[in-house]
Parts: sequence; C-alpha cells; structure tokens
Amino acid sequence: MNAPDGFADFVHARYAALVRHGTLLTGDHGHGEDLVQEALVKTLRAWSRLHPDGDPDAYTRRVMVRAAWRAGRRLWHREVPTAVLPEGTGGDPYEPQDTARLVLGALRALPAQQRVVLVLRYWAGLSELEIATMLGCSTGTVKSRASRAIAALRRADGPLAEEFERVRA
Amino acid sequence: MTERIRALLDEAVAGVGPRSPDPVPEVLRRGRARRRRLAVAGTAAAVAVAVFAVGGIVAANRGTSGKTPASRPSSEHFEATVSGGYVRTGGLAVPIPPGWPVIQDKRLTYCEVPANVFLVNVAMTDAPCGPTRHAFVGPWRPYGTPASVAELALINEVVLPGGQPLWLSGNELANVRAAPSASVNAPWAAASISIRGQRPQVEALLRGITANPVPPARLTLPETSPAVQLSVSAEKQLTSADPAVIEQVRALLAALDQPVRPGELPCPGATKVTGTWKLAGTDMAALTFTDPIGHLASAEVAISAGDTCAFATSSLGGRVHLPAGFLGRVEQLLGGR
Repeated sequence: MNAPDGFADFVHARYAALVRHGTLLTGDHGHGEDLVQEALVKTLRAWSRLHPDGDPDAYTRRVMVRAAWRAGRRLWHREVPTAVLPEGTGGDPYEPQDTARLVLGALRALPAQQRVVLVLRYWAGLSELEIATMLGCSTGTVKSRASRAIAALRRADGPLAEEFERVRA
Repeated sequence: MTERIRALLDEAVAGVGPRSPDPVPEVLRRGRARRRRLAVAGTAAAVAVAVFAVGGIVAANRGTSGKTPASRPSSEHFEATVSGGYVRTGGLAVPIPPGWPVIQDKRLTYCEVPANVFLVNVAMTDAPCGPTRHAFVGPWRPYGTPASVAELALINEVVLPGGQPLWLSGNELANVRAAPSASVNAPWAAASISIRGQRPQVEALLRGITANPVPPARLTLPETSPAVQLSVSAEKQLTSADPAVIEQVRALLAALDQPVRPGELPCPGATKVTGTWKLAGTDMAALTFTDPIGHLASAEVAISAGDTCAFATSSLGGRVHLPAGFLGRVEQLLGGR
C-alpha cells in the first residue's frame, strides 16, 4: 500500500508537533508517539475527505484527544516505559531533577480525563465551554477534572511542589 | 498560576522530538494491520449477529424485552437574534467582528467549523481540531460541581455598560487580560460568550459587549432547592441538604433589601481588567442552589468575601448591598463557623 498523494508531505510537516501534543496527552513520549501513529492511521483512511480541502492536522488532533479521553480504560493503563531508572538504584537523591521529567511524571500520575482537560485548558488555551462541547460532557465535568488535576499537581508532597513554591515566592 | 502551568507544560515537551525518523511506512503498516483485524472481526461479528438475532427472536416470543431507559430532560431553550452587527439574547448584545459570518442553531463537528465565524448556539459535538478563530455565544448554566482551587471555585464580577454583571473565573480573568482567547458569562441572560482570535479582535469584542439597563432589584432566588453549596475558598466548601438550613439561607438572602443602584458599582479604586472593564467584585464566594450530588444547579449567588463595597449578585437577576459580616452568617448557617 502506497501513501496517497499529499499524505507523506503532511506527516513529515506536522509529525513533530503532533508528537509533542501526544506526549502531553499521555504523559509519556513513547505512548504519545504511539497515539499519534494510531491517529494518523485514521487520518489516512479519511484522507480523500481531508485533502486538499480539509484540515488533516485538526482532524488528527481531534482523534488523538478523543482517544486520550477514553484512555483510562485502555492503552495507558499499561506499564509505562522509561529511559530513566527509578529511585533506589544507586542514584543520588540530592541530584536536581529535570523539570521536564518531573512534569511528565506528574502528568502520568493523573487520571487520563484529568490530564486531557488540563492539557486542553492550560496548554491549548481552550475555555471550559469549548472543552465541554468538544468532549461531549458538561462544563461541570470539565471544571471538576481541571480542578482536581491542578490540586494534584501542586500538592505539597507532590513532585511539582517546588515549582509551584517558586511561583508563590 | 495559569501562565506557570502553561510554561511547565511547554517545558515538558520542549525537548521532545519524533523517535521515528520517517513515520510514514509505520503508519501504512499499522493501517494494513488494522484492515486485517477489521476483516477478521467483521467475519466474527456476522456470526455473532446471526446468533443474537435468533436469540432475540426467541426472547421476544417469551416477552422478555427490557424497558427503555428514561431520557434526561433537555437543557433550556436558548434563543438569540442577529441584527445591526450584534448577536442579541436576553438583553445582552455582543458585537460581531467585521466580516465574520454568523452560523446559528446548528450541530457541527469541531472540524466543520470554519475560521473567522461567529457561532450562535452551535453545539460542537466532536473533539478539537487545533486552534481555530471564532466567536461563540451559547447557553450558560450554573456549575453544580465544587472546585477545589480558588481559580475555578470563586467568581469575579465586572459591570457592563448598562449595569448588568459579567462573571469570570480566575482563569477566565487571566485570559481576558492578555490571551488571544477569552470567555465570560452573563448569568442573567443565561449566556456564555467566548472568542478566539487575534488579541485586537478579542479586545474589540469584549469592549463592545453591552446590556440593556435594568431597574435595581432584590435578589431573585429559586423557590426551593434540594441542597446548597458554598465555595468560600479552595479549601472551604460547605454543603447542606437539610431543608431547614436551606430555607434559612434562602430567607437570609431574600431579606436583603438594598438593591445596587446604577453607577454604584464598581466602587472607587476598583482594579482595571481591560481598557474599559473594572472589577466590581474579586474572588467572591459562590453559593449554588443545586442537587445533593452537585450536577443540576438551578441558580448561583456571588457574595463578596469582605465588608468593603460588599454586594451579592444572583444568576437569576438582582444585586444587593450586603451588611457587614454577611458571608460569615451564611457560613455559620452551613456549619462552617
């Protein structure tokens, strides 16, 4: 099977940005890229409708968000691969931790729907109403998911406590 | 804090790049595998359908069909008109950005929404399609779910030309001040307004929102409510489903007899939000008339936390001055003091 006209160009142009989005939606680089590739399969199937007059980037992101929203039941309950060994294996506990790694770790610790709402609200900058209409849920649901996600991220004993402490200081 | 969270998320993926140097062959491979799975599943499904069809006929003949679940009541009907370059609903007028067509009363997937349009009561039924530029006016209803952080739990209020209030959460307030997207709520019109575009477009739309003047009035409150819920801060959320307590809270609000008159708000020294808007109330407590599990709220009352320039506004209409210590008395009734 060969790629239809324009599909390879689209993937090459947008892949890196989609992987960043997928990484935030899943809290993990590998799963994020997996999410993107699964979404691109659906984009490929819909390509005749999306090219040249549609918006394949938007379509792909929509598929990714919907998959991530449902993910609590599926993919990301699996073991999360990591390139870094966990604590207790000889690492220096006083060594400063990389912020990016801390943030992704904190995202992974959130339930999938809280993570999706957090990313849409604070990274994509969508309003509660927009998110609710997109995900087919109530604004109350969006509000509560966002609220719980933020509360978890800035918990005093959480991995990002120091980062939020800097903001208050 | 909104900016800090955004910055942290940006930082988290700043160094993230594709691990696959050329993902196209992998996507094509996955596509082929998926088609094979679907073909196998289709065959299995056909067999299953046949089995269930036979089973269904047998069951129907035995009179064992189940009840159809009762459907939930539909949301309130939202009506708006478009005239003179404005979208109008319930005394609210929102300017349409120049050259933006209006799409009204439709159900669209998010990807079907074109750029630079004004959506009026459009239900978007699908997941996001990336950043798009559009304005939106649609139905608003009180939140029935308690929030555990002040940014989302508390209410900020500005007063429109014409005297009516707009409510904003802490997040919405931050966006209105600086972001390329903003959303605000006009509870008395049961309307929510949002815009995503270039910053000058956002500012122009917000600046142009007006309301029909209304005479001063006491708080309009629901006749009854199964529960009330008070958000005083991120950490302090009080709830009661005791009918006697609910009636006491309601009576306390209903007895407030000093309506805010035109020009009295915002008070002198109010903080500026944008070029034309000033904050009449900041971090106001939210008293919600709701059901015990907090999903179907009928009304919300914003109550000033301090005693300086203190007032309360009902989402159903009406705004009144408050006596000193009013919020404390409500808290006391709900067992918070």
